[in-house]
Amino acid sequence: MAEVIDVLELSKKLKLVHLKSAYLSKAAPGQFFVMQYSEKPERTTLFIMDADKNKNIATFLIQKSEDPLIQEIFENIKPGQKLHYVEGPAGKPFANFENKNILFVSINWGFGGIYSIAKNLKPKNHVDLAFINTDAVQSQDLRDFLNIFDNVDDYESIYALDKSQKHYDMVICAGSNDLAKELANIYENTDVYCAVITRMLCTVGLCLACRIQYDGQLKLPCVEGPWLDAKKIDFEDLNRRHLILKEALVRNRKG
Amino acid sequence: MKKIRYYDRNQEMLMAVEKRTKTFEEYALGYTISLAIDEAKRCILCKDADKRCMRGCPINVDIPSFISKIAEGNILEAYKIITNTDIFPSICGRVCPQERQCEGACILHFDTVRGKRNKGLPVNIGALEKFVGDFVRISGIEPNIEIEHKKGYKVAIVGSGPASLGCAYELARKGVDVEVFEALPKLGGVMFYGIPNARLDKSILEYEINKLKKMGVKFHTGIVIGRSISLKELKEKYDAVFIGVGAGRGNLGIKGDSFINVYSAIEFLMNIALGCPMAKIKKVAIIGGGFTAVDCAISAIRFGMETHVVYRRTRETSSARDEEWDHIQEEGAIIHWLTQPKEIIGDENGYVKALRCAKMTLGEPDESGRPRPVEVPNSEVIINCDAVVLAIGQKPNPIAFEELNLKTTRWGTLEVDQNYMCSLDGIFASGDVVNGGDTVVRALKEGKEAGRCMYDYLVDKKRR
Repeated sequence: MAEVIDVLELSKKLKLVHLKSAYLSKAAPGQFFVMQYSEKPERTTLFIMDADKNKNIATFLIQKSEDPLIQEIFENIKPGQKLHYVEGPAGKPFANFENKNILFVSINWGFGGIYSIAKNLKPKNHVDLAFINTDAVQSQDLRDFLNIFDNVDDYESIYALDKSQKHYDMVICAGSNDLAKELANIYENTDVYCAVITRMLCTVGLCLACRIQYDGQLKLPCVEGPWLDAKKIDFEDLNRRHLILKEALVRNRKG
Repeated sequence: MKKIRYYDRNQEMLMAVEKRTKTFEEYALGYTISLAIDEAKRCILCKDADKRCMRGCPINVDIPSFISKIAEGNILEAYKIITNTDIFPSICGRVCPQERQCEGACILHFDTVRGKRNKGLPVNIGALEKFVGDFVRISGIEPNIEIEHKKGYKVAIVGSGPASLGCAYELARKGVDVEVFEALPKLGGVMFYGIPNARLDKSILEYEINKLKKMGVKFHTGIVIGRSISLKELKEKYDAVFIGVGAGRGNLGIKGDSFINVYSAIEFLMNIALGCPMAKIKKVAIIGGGFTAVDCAISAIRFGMETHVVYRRTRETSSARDEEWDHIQEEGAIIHWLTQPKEIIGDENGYVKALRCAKMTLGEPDESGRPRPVEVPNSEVIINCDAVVLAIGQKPNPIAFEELNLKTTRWGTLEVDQNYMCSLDGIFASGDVVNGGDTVVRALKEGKEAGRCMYDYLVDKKRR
């Protein structure tokens, strides 16, 4: 059982939630969890932005959304609530690196995914952040968390990123599949890792709902990801299968 | 001399077709007590039942003894006899393929000693077993389960399907502290996610799991072994670990399987079991000829989908139950026997629009002993549909055990010794993750056997 300890309104469209959970608080960098907010059966996956196993606390971001499921959580989550069900930590933790020049790129609540990785890699690497501001999330909203980065640059769109001329050994991004696709094009000679956004159902590698085409083969982001090499992802297949299906599901929920 | 009643087998009452296709309530309504007693009286109580029905039963229930108690009206005693070996009579009575097990070896129908077909219909052993389990459950009788004093051993069980529950039962009875770790929100594994409510009401599963809880077994959901906690950590914290994660990973592998509305059977059934929203589907083609395909069809029909089942072999060679094929046909399923799917066809937006198939004929037997299906030239068939469900085989999900490099077979199943121990000391496994996928009752039996081996291991380890 996970209990909501605290909900901080970072902006009108972004909230930071602290959960008390013995298991989730042991999350490794880059892992996520599954939440079933109420008795309704729908499950959503959320990044564990930070985890403190000594205090049994895990932190995550939630952003206002057109998806009624996310919207319900965003509007109603309150301190003292016991979440109906949580599962995790899930997914493979992000690997450790040393002496790398790393660019993190974040859009929307994808920051919740990269933060724990950046925090972990910071002591032994140079870490920059390119923050893509949107109507929903601005870098200002997360100012208290930006001090772990060596440099922070703001951008107004995904497509403005190609103006950056700096060299990096590695790019790590989260928040949008389009962002990952664009970065894979911009950073042709650099490793680009992204957290794929797909519809996850079982999150333990059984149901194949999250499957993507990766380097010509089937890949399951729920257990083999979520952090994958963006250059190996078939984004056309990903967008077709997952975004259209997700839109259909949202329509169903509204309907 | 007692007259042998070869033919007047009592069938269970079924819900009317027009009603059952609109509900996920169970459609096989079970026996009344008078029908159960009457059916029990058909049994001739073979003295050599151990060579007949009992041998046919994977878990070797003492069938004549429990049936004789039903005939006497002593249902509680019948329950005790069954649960000496089969801890879940209500479940096995519903989901076992009895015509290939106990009933297939009933002397009224087939003389297994002489190896020849007999003239009658078998005793309805499955319905009787279900009746006994249901009678005790519905009556609210609390069966007494003897539990030995606590021994101080701690065992972790990964997964909560039939093998795990069988193992938990055996160990808890021996006074071992048992904790079960399940990744998904509901307990029961395939019994919850794979079998639709129309065949196995979830409240029955809940009842059986509650029995284990009363025995002291602790259950944790939402814990993904291999991700939330490693198997290595479990091994360090507990005296032994049992892996019963099944073989539920779905299978794809047909051209066009990345179109929208192509589902693995487990995704399709899991969506339904959890009550998650699904895309609107009008016509579905379900590929496969086993239990899972039939369970998908039962579910699809109840969602009002025009349901096609596409199987490359024949009904006689399918692994699903005969009566279930009858049931889904009565409910309107269109079954395409001897039809091999070749390609899923999509429209310009990436949605499924049809399934292209070829007709087959039966050739020489293959390695499974069944006639090999051979494609009929120029026999293309197009089945129009807006969704495809692939119920074509399954494999173990390795995430719980991949980090410890346990030995696996070329099919990805875990290798175990004669005591169900894996290649690492103190880690045991059984059920589908070892046998690659079989019946609930076989998993239950192997789980119980593994539990007994684990207990011996714990005692021996302490002595050492």
